[in-house]
Amino acid sequence: MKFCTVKQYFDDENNNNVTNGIATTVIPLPNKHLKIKANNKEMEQYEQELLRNVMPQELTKLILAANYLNFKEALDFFCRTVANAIQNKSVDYVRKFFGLESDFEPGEEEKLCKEFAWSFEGVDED
Amino acid sequence: MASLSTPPPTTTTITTVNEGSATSISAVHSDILQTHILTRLDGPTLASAACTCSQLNTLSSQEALWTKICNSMWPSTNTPRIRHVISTFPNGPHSFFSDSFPLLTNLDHTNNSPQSHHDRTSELISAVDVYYKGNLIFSKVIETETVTGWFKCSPFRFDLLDPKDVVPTPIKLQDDDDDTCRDLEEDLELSWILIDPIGRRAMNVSSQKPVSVQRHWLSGEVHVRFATILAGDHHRGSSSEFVQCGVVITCGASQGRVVLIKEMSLQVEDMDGIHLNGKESLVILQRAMEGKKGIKRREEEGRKRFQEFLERKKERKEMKLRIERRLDMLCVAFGVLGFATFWLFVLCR
Repeated sequence: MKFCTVKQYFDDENNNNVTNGIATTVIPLPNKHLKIKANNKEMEQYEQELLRNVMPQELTKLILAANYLNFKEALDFFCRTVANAIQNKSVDYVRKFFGLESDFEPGEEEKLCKEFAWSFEGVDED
Repeated sequence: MASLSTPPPTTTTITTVNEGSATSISAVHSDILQTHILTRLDGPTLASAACTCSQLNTLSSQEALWTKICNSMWPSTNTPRIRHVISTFPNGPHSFFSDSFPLLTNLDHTNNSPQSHHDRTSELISAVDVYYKGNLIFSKVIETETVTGWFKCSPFRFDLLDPKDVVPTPIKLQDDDDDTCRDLEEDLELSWILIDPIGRRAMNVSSQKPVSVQRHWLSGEVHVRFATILAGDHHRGSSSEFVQCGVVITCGASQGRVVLIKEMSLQVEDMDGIHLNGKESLVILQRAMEGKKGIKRREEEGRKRFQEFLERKKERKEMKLRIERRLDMLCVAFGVLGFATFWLFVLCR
């Protein structure tokens, strides 16, 4: 049952995990899925439209929301989008995208860069 | 530290790094990161993710992730023997992918330790995959010993198919021969990974896409060549300063107008077109395995290097012709001088 968690969400007043904005994006998805279930292409277009307006950093919140609401298809979709977004991108871009900071020892990072020098070539521009 | 107060069931969360108001990916469970995001990445992207921070580095180092990437990229590596060999590699499938994915760039001759150091392996395993339009059409693994005198002294050659075998493919023959050749040049891909189980190293000796496609004038068979250029002898100007490690697929046609693969072989030849013997080839290949790797976009770089190799071959041939011509002139001049001296001697008596 997809919406048992949603009910809990509405009952739970002090909810840090899913802000209203995110909920309005995630919750209509199942209805839309049912309506255009047969037509994959239309679903894809709808999903692209949805994501055009979403900042990369928002995707993390969407993933958290979909996970909390136990909504597999949305989780799948958002994770797929994240994977596509960082495909063939530089390390700095991936760091910025995920909001991470390098916490390697100075020698460690150099060693990694040397080992994977080949993977840094030919990346897309940020 | 971010943590979820309510379901879904949690395992470990990784520490959040605060970046103002944006929620960092660290707030997401490592389980979700691993099973939904990291499993969808290809090799180079996973390597980039591993270099971002120590948490992602740990998650990205999971053997299962890299094994999946290796098996999907090279289905021939999913055999018991190769799986076992990969597990003995320093970092397992991770280092196997790093060894086999990039194009070789070992064109410098600085790594020239004594020859005997380099031919210590007793066998080489070849994992070969052939693709057409991105789909796998053929896969095979062969093991070749490298210790016997027979291997060391005869010309280096690995044959994938037995003489009478043919492999049918889904490639349709075009009406025009040139169209078939163009079709093969654009859509046929090959990966030939040489694995040294003793030295625990590997390398991909194919250029991924063909560097040349030629129709044999007599037999009508099409020869599709995939090649990498390696550093050979360190003597400048010698014929094996650079060598071509080439895989040639010989294609014929079947009754049903479909392309058949009749032969697939790996050979090493020098700049004079002479095939090196087993011992010399093994030294060069092992040196290349231990050298540095680079270049992700193998196709364009592979073709470029092959063209440069052909240029060098041509220059070498021209230089040889020039030397020969000079020697001829010298011989003629010497002959004429000798003849003139003789007659002068005779007349002056």
